[in-house]
Amino acid sequence: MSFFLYKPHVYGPEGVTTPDVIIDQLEVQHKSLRDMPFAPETISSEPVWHVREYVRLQPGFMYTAIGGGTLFSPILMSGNWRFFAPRCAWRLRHMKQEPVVVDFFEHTQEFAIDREELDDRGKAKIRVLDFNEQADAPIGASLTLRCGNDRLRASLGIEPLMKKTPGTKPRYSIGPTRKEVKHYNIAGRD
Amino acid sequence: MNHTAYAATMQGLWLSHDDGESWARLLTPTGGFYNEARCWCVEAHPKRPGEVLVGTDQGLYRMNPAEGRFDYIPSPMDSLHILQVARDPNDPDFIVCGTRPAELFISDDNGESWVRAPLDAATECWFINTTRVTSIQFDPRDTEVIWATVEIDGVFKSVDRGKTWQLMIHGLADNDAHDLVFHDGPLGRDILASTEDSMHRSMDNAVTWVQEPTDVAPFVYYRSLVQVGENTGVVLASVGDKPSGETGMVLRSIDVGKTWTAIDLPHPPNSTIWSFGTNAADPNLIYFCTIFGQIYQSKDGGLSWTKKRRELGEIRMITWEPTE
Repeated sequence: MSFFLYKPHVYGPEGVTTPDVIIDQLEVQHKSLRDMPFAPETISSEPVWHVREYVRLQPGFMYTAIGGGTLFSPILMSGNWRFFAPRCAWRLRHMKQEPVVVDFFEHTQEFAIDREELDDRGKAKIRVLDFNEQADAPIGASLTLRCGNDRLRASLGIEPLMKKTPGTKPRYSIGPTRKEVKHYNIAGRD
Repeated sequence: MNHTAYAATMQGLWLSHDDGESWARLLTPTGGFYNEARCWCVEAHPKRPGEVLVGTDQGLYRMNPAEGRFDYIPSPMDSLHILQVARDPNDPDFIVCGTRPAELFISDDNGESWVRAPLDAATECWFINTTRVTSIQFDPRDTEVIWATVEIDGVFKSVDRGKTWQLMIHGLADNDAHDLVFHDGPLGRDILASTEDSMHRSMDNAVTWVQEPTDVAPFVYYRSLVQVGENTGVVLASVGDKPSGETGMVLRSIDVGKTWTAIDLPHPPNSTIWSFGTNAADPNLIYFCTIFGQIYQSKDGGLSWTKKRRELGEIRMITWEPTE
């Protein structure tokens, strides 16, 4: 089996707790999908992704079933169904009875900005922007949820996957025994 | 001086508010990170009192003094071991972290975004398998210049704030470099480098190094270096039998390492002395820790030491900062 080890910092009325959560089941609700299972390894908390082609990111909410009560957190989804889950969450039962305000920022070369507010919790009307196809600088997106004075943020950097120029790497070093180590021949690969 | 001392251990970050006599961890439920996280480094900055940075095996954290807890700083280092962290003395938003595997990650916006520096360190070591960063320092003469040592690869220098790096190892008898100390005198600059095979000195800004063995210590495994006060030439060096070792010594020099004196300690160290903890607010107040948990304190610039009663398992770094 596979799983994703989610390490959220859960902000609550008594401070912040840091459970490590094994996520072994993932279902997605989307306008184009309903109760669709996905492999847990499609989730990542890595804050920078390298992609071969520019991807569209959509904001969303993630609900995580956990012993102390369901967690609620921002999530960013790519068009090819990868999920960025930042390491922050609220516990649903501790959330203030106030509207959740959603700020979705898309960072392109021109740093285009979009913004919408939730008119009711869980019913976001969020416009998704296309990334600038001409952008050659790192791009990304961030989604901020505000509830009262509390704030959670998912910030993801997107960088184009560049072909690396072969160099002399990798090098080896030698430890205290000064034992000879045969260096890896990256050029010849013989 | 009223102060808070911090010890980064393999069982979390410990704090002392009473001159190092008693130590406690923040509680797991409210402290901000798992209190048995492995912590390798802790750094205080005079321009950000209370906002210490801690490098762990679960990411980088910043103390939030108003809330009395640590806040997580998202970074690409979550799955790495964050072994060293340093902030520009003039610009605390500029953060450099060193990891295992040996990489440097730099933020110029107080941790909002990060870049991986092109350190180009060795990727493998026969002895420790994976290389690691052992120290990061901003040049005291010019903070555009950043220095790092890598075990096991040597001394690295950047003159452009981390954008490019040079490996400076000509003359090092051993590339297992641990720490550096700088002194700019009327006759020029001395840099001392501690390595697993004796002390080394450079008098040409690290272009070349000369091994400087001393018979003051029966060991050659030099670990931590610190200068007592700004550019005084008074240097403390730790030396042990080996890593992690079974004993260690403190050496003190008043002439930038040209001569050394072994300092009497009230209790024999149980392993190599791994870290000195200093703060410019009081150069004479110094802590050191052995890797196996002993804590000592000096209030006279390292001439004499007292051993604290409390021991803390495995300690990797110790520091302190003044408090109200």
